[in-house]
Amino acid sequence: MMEKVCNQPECTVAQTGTCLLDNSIEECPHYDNENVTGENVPFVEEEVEGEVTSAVQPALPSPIENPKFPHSFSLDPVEVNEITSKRYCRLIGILGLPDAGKTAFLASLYLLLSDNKLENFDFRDSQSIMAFEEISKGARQWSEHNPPSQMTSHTELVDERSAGFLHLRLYDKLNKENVDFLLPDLPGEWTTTLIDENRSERLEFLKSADFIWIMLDGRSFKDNSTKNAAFHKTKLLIQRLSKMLSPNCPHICLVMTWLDKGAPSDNVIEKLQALGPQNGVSLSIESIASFSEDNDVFPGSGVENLLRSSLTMINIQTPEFWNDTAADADRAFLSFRSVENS
Amino acid sequence: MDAKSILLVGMPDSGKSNYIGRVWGALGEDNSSLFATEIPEDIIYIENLYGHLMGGQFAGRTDRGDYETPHQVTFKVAKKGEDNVSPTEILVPDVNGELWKKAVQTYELPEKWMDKLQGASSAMLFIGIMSKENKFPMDWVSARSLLSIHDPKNIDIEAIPTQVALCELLRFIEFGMGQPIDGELPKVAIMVTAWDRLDAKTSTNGPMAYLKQEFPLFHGKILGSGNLNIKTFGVSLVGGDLEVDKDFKEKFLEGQIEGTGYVCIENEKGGAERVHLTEPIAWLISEDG
Repeated sequence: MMEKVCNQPECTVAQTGTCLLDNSIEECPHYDNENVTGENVPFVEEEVEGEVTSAVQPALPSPIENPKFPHSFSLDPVEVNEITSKRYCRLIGILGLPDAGKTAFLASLYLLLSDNKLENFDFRDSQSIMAFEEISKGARQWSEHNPPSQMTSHTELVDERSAGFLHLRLYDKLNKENVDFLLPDLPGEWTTTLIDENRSERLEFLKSADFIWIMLDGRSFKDNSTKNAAFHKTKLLIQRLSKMLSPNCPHICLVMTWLDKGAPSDNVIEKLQALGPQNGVSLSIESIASFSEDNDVFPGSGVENLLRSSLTMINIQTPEFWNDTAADADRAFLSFRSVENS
Repeated sequence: MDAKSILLVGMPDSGKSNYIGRVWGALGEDNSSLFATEIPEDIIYIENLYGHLMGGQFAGRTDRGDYETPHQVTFKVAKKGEDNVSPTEILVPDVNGELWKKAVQTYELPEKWMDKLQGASSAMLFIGIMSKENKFPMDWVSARSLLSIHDPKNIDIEAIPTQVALCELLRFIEFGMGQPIDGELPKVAIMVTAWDRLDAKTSTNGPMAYLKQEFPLFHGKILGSGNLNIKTFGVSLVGGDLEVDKDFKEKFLEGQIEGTGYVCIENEKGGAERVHLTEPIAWLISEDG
């Protein structure tokens, strides 16, 4: 038995035996004896007393669709809106060049919570817990590299143009209240294109951020051959952000990673700190070691401090009134600012 | 008659079927606040489970080819001392843990089971202490090396930490049952089974302290669950470990199963006390909080 298919996708020769182009089967250039993978319907050809008849193979039964629970991977703006319509969330923009340490930071934070290692914060919930789980296993490189081709069956289509969000609810033991954080999943490339090309349209939602963390690879500031370039890039980034987000630029914290390789020098700190007033933005600097190769620096050092100082600053700052004309349908979560605190 | 269904939720080897088998026998015991008002018509399945326990064995992983077909266990119970109240019918579909494991991995649940979840009056979520199925987050060294590999194909989807699976199962329960019933939040009993495997000190601190120590994410999620009325229970079916403790098993077989086992709950003084095995069910079906 031969399986014959036609390369022309719309050709009905399989069902009718007649070529769409009125060619005879033997002469049609699109028709061949080899299986062609794709959308052609495979069929069986039989010769009965000189006549060619064909029959279509029965189609495979479609798989039964089971009801589904909402997923817990990173959230799209519509899903985020579900959360922000019910409670006040602190939105923290996390920027940084590829390999600055954004992924390591998130993995570290998650591992600390998983092991009850934060002193004054307890886990309460995450609507994107599987995204954290994947990040902690290196399955998601925080979009640094292409999304893994192998993901579980419910992978939603990745919209290149919108950020995914991580959600985290913590109990703040000092202030005795729950705090919801939204952490957008921004590819490092977006920071690069912001610096290099001033492309900022995908970062519009930063205008609603309560806080911005810029992750900086601490090692690049320790090495004399790289520190000038690193400083320069940081300066450009702050300039871009300031221009893009003023007059209501959120507070920016420069988060120096790789603390276990040594804290940045006072000179570096001073120069970086000066970038704040130079650009009219409120700026602070923290150091963290998401992981550690130094026995004197425990993994996760500085992570809790960063959370605490950021939250403190967010709480004392008076929220400005946001101009809502920038919000469009699928960024409706931007209007969360009008929801009262829970 | 008031029919209430209790949905059993939990990963494989978390103790669901064994609890149901044990509690069937426990309904008749002196210290139980509930008693069975009649013998159900179909008792083969439940008697089989109870029979295993009487013989000193925990029933093995519910071994069914088709784990999607629910095996319904039905009790009719009433509270002792309440004469004129009609019995409560409790339907407990015995479910294979593989179903829930698959739900955690795929977010899917066959329609029959989603219907049961949405129609349930309450739920029991099981965790087995020191179950070989339990998985824990990786240590820092492994996490660090995984991060530097950048190879998603290395990731073992099977190895979802138990506490993450539990958080997801609680989320599923909340999703399915989340609407208040007559103004009351739906009840969920967290059943921490094989309680007798713990040392005395840990045991006296009660189930929430145990969860905080072993499964901090899950502990936190319980505390943060605003849409459910949750209570945790440490459960020991016969008071000791039939699988591991040979001496205990010998003694157990010499005696009788009635009166063995207990449930551990926290009391107001911050310690823990023991109550009867049927207490979680009594709590789930009672009108008060």
